[in-house]
Amino acid sequence: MKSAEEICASCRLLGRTLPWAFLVAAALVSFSPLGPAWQRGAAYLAALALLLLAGSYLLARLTPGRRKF
Amino acid sequence: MAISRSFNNPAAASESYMASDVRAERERSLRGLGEGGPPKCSKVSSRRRASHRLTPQRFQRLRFVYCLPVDEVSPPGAGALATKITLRSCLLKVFAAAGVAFLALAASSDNLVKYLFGPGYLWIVGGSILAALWAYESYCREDVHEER
Repeated sequence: MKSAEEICASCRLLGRTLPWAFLVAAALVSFSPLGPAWQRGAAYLAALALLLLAGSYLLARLTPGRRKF
Repeated sequence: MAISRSFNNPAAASESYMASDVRAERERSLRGLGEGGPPKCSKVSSRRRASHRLTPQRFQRLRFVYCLPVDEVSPPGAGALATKITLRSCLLKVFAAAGVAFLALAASSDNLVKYLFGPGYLWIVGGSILAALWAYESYCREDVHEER
């Protein structure tokens, strides 16, 4: 069975890189003295990051495979 | 014939010697006939690994030459630089992911509460647990091998 990364090349970016990038970006914007529009965007960015993480986790959980521990 | 070829081509000689050495070691290990005692060195030194001249192929060959036991060598199909999954590395990654998520969510929890919904601690605790679960699924599975 093909893994998700073999099926779509951008899955790795979508499931691994983007959530953490969004999470860190949201934290940085929250620390910065930017305006309320930016702060609102940061909140949505953090929520989107958690959604992507949840989706990636569910996909990995549902994919058959051995767990080491 | 092999001797004459090796004599004419030193590179081929070292390759064939290495291949036979690796093969013998693998056969010994498969039969459970290890030479006794732990291998003399368990991993390639970090300095050698960091060397820019090391290609993945050379690194993999070094792992063999530097007497890694066969069961610690990455399975076929794994990336050349794939590392063995140990409980320690797995726990480290899980806690690191949870820590990063905790810090990031703690920083942006005010915005989340103000512009979205729910209490801040729910975002922080829920997000940290989610990140830890994600890291477990991503880094602690035997069928997932990635080049790092």
